[in-house]
Amino acid sequence: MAQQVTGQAGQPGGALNVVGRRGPNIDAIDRVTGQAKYTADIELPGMLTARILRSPHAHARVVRIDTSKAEALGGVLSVITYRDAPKVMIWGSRQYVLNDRVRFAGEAVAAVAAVDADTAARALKLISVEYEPLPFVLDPEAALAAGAPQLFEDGNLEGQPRVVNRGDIEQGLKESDHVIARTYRCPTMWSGSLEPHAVVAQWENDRVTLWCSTQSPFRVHANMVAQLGLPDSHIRIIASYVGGGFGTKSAPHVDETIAALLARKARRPVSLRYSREEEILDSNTRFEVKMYIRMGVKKDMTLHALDIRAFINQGAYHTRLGGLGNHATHLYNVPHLRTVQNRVHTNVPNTGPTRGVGDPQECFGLDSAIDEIAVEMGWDPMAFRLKNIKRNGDPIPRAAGGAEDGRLVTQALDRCIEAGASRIEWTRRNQAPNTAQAGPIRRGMGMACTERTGGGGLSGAQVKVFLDGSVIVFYSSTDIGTGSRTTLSMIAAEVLGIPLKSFRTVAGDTEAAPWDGGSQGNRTLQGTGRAVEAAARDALRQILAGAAPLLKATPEELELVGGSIRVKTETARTMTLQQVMERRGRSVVGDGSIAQGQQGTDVERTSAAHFVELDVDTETGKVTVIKYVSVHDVGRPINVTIVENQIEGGTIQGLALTRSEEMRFDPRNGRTLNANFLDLMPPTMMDFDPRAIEAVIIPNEGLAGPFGGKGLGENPCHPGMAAVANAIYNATGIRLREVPFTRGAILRALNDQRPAASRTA
Amino acid sequence: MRDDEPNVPEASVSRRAFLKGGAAATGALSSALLPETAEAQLPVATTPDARRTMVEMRVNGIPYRHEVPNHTTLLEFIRGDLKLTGAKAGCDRLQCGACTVIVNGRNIYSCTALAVEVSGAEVTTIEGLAKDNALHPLQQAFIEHSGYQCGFCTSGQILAAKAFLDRHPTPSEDDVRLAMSGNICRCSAYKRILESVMAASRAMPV
Amino acid sequence: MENFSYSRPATLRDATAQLGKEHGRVAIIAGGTDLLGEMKDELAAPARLVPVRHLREMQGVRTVGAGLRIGAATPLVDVVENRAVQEQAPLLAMAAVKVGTPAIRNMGTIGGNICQRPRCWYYRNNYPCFKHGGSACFSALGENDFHAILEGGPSFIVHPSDTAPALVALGASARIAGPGGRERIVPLDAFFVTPRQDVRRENVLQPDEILVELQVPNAPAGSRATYVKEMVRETWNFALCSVAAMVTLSNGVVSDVRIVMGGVAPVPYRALKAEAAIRGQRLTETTAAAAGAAAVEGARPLAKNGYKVPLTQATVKRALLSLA
Repeated sequence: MAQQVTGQAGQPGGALNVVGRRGPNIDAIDRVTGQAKYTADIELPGMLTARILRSPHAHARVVRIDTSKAEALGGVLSVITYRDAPKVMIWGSRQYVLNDRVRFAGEAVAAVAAVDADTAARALKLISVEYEPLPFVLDPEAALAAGAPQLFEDGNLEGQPRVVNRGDIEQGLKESDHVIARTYRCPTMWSGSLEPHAVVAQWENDRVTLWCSTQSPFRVHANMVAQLGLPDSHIRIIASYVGGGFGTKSAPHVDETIAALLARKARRPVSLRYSREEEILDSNTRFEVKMYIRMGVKKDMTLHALDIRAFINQGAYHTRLGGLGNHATHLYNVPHLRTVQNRVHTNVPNTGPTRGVGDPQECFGLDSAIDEIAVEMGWDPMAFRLKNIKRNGDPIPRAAGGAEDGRLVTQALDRCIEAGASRIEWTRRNQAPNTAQAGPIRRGMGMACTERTGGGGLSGAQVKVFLDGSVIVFYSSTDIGTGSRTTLSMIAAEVLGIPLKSFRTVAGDTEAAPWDGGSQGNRTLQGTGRAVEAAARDALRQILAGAAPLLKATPEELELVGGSIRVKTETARTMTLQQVMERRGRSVVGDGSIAQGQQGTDVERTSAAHFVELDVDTETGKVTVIKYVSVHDVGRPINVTIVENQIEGGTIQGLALTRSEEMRFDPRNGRTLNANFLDLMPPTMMDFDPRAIEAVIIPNEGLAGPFGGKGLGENPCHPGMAAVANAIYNATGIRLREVPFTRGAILRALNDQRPAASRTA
Repeated sequence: MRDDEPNVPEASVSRRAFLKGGAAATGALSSALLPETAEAQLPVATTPDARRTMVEMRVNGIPYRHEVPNHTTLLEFIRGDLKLTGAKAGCDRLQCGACTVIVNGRNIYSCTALAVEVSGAEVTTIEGLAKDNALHPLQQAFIEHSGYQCGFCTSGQILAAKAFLDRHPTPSEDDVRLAMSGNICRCSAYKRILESVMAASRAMPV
Repeated sequence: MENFSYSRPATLRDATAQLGKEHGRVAIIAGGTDLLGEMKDELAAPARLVPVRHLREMQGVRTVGAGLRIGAATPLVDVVENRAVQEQAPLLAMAAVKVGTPAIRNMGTIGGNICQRPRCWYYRNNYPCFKHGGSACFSALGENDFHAILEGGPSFIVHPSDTAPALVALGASARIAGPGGRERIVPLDAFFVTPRQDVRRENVLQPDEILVELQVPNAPAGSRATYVKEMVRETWNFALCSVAAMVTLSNGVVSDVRIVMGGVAPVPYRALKAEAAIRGQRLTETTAAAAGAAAVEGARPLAKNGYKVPLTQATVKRALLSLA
């Protein structure tokens, strides 16, 4: 039953016993002993191994496909092509699971299931496909030019450009005392997890269970309902242990449906595990964004006009998942604003939200431009930000848009900035780029800000209290490494007064738990967390009602504390929870399905300020982070250890984007050249010295989340690129407007900076 | 989900699809989907490959003897033949470290070693670390210091650390960083992994 | 990975007898770190693997006369940790520890390290390039950020090994066993071949030959050496450029010098001009910079790897200065 949840959560008047502490995860033993079962670890009797045949062409028509030899191979139990696949687009995408038209190199064209991996691999080689290659396009602006190869009949632009207007942008720029126009670009970047996608599909009659590595079981569920044409009750999605997601597992892909179709045809369970290369090519990776920014300021240090024209390279298919964040509309006050987002389809692999829906990319452009204009005006970029950030009570859009119809509440970005400046000792920063210093090393400081929603929408959970007094929290969003099993249990433990050690969880199961929006977009804590809180209250109400006659009191006179139920005014009148439950004779199930949306005009956001001090080696182009301070408003942290771990890890992921992880495409054929870790180079423990990274949590309390908590997961990944670019400028005077900041880019820029006579060719 | 977009529409999409596809699909499929019994004999591959070798090794102290195709990797052997799934396949190209196991005292990437080449060796996997129901000090330290997030790399991290600490019981932080640099933690819980290994080095008998 | 025949030869002679006359049909496996990746990626599909790690002649480090004999199948970790290597040829230990990661050094061997195939992404993606018997180098007009600035053409791969530049600088030789017990000794500066000499291969090994051991003369008395490697990551990368440098100073003046660079040319590149520039000089910022400039003389960068010129220049300069 949906209920509106508003107002402050928490034990009225009571101190918190569980929430706000440090501590290990409740599932830690499973993780350190190898007992945690990820999808690829599941083995069912008679299970087959599946493999996918993928297109070598970036854009082609499948003229002919002959699977007869593969089907004839002993040990092959099913082969499917587009002829076997539903003509139903994948959730959030324009892609068919298998099609006679491919739009990126690496797209699935057929799949087989066989008794073992060798046989499946051999079968793939026996499938003959005749392609008619079509012209392809990789660049989003080129894709909109006249005569560009067309991916779809209605063109390469997804829908209409998303336009936000506030004030009058041209007038605002005219009124400004200083205007800059700059272009920034983030290329397509790998942003995936360590665990590749994996699915196990098992049919029982006309019901199917899919174990899969997803962040969002009910999104996969919705897709499977559509793909398989089955009632929703016939499909069960289980995503128990998930080896990271970062957005790349936030949407359904082709894998779940392919596994289900193969299993149905073979009448056997099927396991489909992506290779690393497949994972890089065929999950949604971080999309390219090119931003043309014009920014105007008044002499009084106010941001007066901001114009962003963005081209978002969505790749081949995904439609609902690309775009910028809301930095332009929600982070700074600016009377004249226009943003135009062109979401473009090209023949690069699918992209999507990855630790931010365009937030890191937008942050790079916007917070670089903020820095550039401040420098040109002779202002301290931090002071400029403090002057212009939205503060409590400031008008702010209630939704993604320009109209400032709400008011910002529980904001703490100003305190984040001040705390970060103090930790990094911002006053030590170079007043001007450090070009005169002796020796090749230049040191500089930079900063950037971010903000985002903390989540919301529909969430559900159940809390079941057993006769022995132990508890299971059932929920259908996931623990992708965010510690939600622990955090959600802590919320329930706080409400129930039952020790945390009595808690277990069933995560990511669409049949065991109520509907939930999933674990993406910062939302698990604020959404599922509130649902768990409601479920725990419901369970508590039932427990106290059951205990009341036993303790000869009314339920209102009772409390559950430390695993015992007692009369509040007479604490010696007590029974253990176990005693009460055994007398009750049956378990208690508390339900907590909730709907959260924007209520009234109060707008709550979650924000952060990052500061970096770094060295640039002007002879080798090497950048070394000396100190990095990540200051976050997370409302009230539920588990401080988990919050710090998220901040530290997200910070390193943001830093990784400054140095490597760009996907490189061969312009001659559109194939990805570096779909492996040696070439994408994700950070090791030797990179970005973890000791240099400091996570700071600003004391605050939110409104929407449980116990004042706010969503966090995505934000730590946002500011790294802008903060580092700004620090490189502060160190050297070179301004890098394209990530990653490679040795080549830095050495070239340094060379261009030199007087003409001393440049190398 | 788009920022700020309440996900109510998703729910209605799935409900609509349910109403549209529901009843017809049930009828159409049920007859076509008589289940096979799980024990049913699987067909065999066309040509059984004669190129096989008997592999013997002690894994976590237990001797095993299995005949495998020559191209079977140690990771496939451990996960597939021995059903020890703590070692993970993250890249299958010695580029991530999730498959790390210890062979004769040294940490290696089991994805890119052949089982036949490891024949005769002493192998330790994560399943062999706890002794007599007591966690290894490294496991204890990874719990106490939260040296992980998603856990997919954790088996490998702990085994790389074990092979290192067994030889270098009193390392510096920089020693540990170098020793652990062949194991990617994509969640980047590096600060806490470093703390975990340092704490374990202090807890372990020298 | 396709399956293959596999049986352990009892002797080196048995091992060579298993090899054929055709590259690729039979492969020698030692650490397997490069070979198995090539097989998984279908760049190689040998019908037979010949394991050699167990062969006595190919294992371990021995001191013989004024030098070291290092079995080609010796794991890199044993090279790094070997006291004789550390004392008699420290440059080699410094380079070997820069290979990959601890696990790769536990698995990979020194012979495999110098015989590894190119890391060029066109090669690794199985483009029909020169290395695969084709007639083009796709990097020349393609994505060539990591390709050769020296000695390039017609293939622009770079030599990926860390130990090879060190071994060349040390004046090491390769002992090679052929069929029927035949043997030959090849100095390492003649072991590696440029694309102009043989566009498909990176060294002189014939299909029926095995690299048995490396013979490494002791570093000259009083010499100093360093290996400097520039990478994108701090570790676990092939070099953007690397420099193995060894100098002997007499009265503060460079009397003997070897400078060999990795990651910049299709072979370990001996920077003879840089050696000439620094020989007879004191090691100062100025002379080291001049040697750095001389090291990249004649460099012909491609469209996207121009940065390697100043990077290599700086790396040579710093390597030399670190020895002052």
